[in-house]
Amino acid sequence: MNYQELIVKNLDRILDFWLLIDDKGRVIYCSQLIYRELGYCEADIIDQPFQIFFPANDPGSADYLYQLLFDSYSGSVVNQKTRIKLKNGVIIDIELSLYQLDTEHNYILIAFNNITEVVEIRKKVKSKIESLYKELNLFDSRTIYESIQDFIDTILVSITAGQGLRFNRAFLFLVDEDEGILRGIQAIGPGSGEEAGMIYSEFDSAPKTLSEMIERYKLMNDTDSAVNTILTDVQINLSDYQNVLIKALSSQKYILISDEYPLINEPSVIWLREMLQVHECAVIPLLWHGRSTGVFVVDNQVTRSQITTHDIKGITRYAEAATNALESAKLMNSLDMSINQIKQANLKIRESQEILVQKEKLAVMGEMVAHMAHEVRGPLATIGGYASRVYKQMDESDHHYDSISRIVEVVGTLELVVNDILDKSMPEEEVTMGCDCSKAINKVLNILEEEIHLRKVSVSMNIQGDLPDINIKEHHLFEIISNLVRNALEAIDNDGLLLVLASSIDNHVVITIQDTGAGIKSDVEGKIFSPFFTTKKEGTGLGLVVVKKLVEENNGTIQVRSVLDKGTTFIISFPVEPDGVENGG
Amino acid sequence: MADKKRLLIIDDDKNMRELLELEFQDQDYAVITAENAFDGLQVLKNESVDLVVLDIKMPGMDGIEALEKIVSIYRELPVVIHSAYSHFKENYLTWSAVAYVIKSGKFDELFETVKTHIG
Repeated sequence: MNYQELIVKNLDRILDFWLLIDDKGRVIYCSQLIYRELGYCEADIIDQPFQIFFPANDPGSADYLYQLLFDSYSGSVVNQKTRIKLKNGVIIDIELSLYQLDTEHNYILIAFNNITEVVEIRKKVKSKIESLYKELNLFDSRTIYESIQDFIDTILVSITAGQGLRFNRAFLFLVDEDEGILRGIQAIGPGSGEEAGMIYSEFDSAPKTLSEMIERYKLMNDTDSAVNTILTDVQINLSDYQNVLIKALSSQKYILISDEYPLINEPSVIWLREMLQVHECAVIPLLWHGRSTGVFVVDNQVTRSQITTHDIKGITRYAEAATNALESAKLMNSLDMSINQIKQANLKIRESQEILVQKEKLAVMGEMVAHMAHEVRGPLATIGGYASRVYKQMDESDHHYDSISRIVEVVGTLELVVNDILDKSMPEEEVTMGCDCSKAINKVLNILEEEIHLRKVSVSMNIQGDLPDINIKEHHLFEIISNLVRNALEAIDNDGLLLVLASSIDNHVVITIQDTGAGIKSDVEGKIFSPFFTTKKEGTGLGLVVVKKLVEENNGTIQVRSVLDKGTTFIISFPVEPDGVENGG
Repeated sequence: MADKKRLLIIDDDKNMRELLELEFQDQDYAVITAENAFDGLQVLKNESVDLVVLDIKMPGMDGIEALEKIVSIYRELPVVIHSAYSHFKENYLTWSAVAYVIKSGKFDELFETVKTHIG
């Protein structure tokens, strides 16, 4: 069995592009694709040194690769990125691997893949992202749209260009999730055989790099071209599962439509073939992170070349790169929009902060001024006072009368000025928000817990569930209830009952504090709210005075009922604040 | 002849203290002065006083605390707050004083207030 023949003949099924090199660096065999795709013929390659594949200005690359190989431990160099030239002079990027097959005869197997399109796309994306970053500070919505358009142009040119995948025509459809449709976006390709012929011969004579071609295509701006008009208004519902494009989209597998296609008579296939005026085409889904974002439909309408699995593989890999690029562009777009929003928000925050800082500065200044004014008042009073005393002793004939009278006058003016300043700088009346009585009651009972326990007093509390808020400063209410409860505890002294009720009656909140203490003698009952009145041996007696004043300050009323030796009840009542109205300001 | 009414003036400002003494003496009151609340309380222990004129901002014990102490011990003794500060006028903490007068070179208001309470 001639294994050599067996393997060489079948290597094409395993590797796309390969060369077998002898110990003198000459090509013995090569793959068929090298003839088909790279434009060389047998005479160009066989027995020729391997260096012929390398660009004229970079002959050293071959030697460099050899060196790498001989230095390697494994006898192989894998996935080296380098560049070779086609027969027509066009340079392509490749990923190349070398394998030492036979140390005795130093035969080398070289295999490579054309990664031009991927490299070009990557370069373009990178430079686009870099320029977008630079442009972030000069954000302009037109810029972003241009870049997405850029990508679409790049992708379409790459599919059809000589160095790229070399399909005749390419049609791009993208998913519009908001509308729930697959929409025709853009197409590229010659409108007729003649036009195609013109384009191809032009390229053959003056090969351009992919980038140059993309630039040229963009300048042409042929949105009205024949192929683009095919796509105008093409919209397919994403829910139309029978449609061949949707099938490719949802199955995430390519569909090769040729005369052998099993579903050749399916309506959408007929529609597609007729729309594109073609027998054979391939539908390639664009995937991004597992989601389908669109499809390419590619064909060789002009050259009628068969679409091979190799072609499909190429474009599938290409589709991945293209989708990444498109999605990156979209992401950059929304990133830019978010950045813009953030910038706006930051601007607003900065403005508010500046206003706040201003306000704080003013407040601090106000406080300082007020403080100064207060400090000044006392001395001013003494100056004025002493000057007045002197002034009163004099009469007009006195030597110093004039001087003194001026001092008195000016001090008087100054006092007015100080009063004025202080009137203006008085802090605004505290806004009295709705106050929840149950909170104040609970707070007081919590604070006095220990005393209640020590005096062995039982506390009974009944606070209505949906008690409305009242218009009173919370610390005032606290003070009121605290004083009353303390009085109750003292009145009880030991072993007694304290009852605290809160309910709403007739648009008022009524708080009742009742004790089983000593009670108040009827003859003094009327006096209990008088200043300094107290029957206690010690203590200020100012508690009830303050309580009454606080209650009345807040538009409330206070009443007392008492029976000697039985107990005392205080009833305070406050009006309920009407809904949504706040006091103060 | 009725005895002169006796005033206790508590203020840490020497100039103010002495000015008030002169002014009230002119108005025919007997005046005792104290430069802080402690001294003032000491005076109250040992002397009979009809009315106290009390400053608020003082080092050591301030006027508010002094007020509470005076009022709790000497329940019938009127106290008039005499201060450069306006804040405490509306604050219930000073409500046990009989009046709150803002310091000024014109003592009319102060004299009126004292006269109202003790004649």
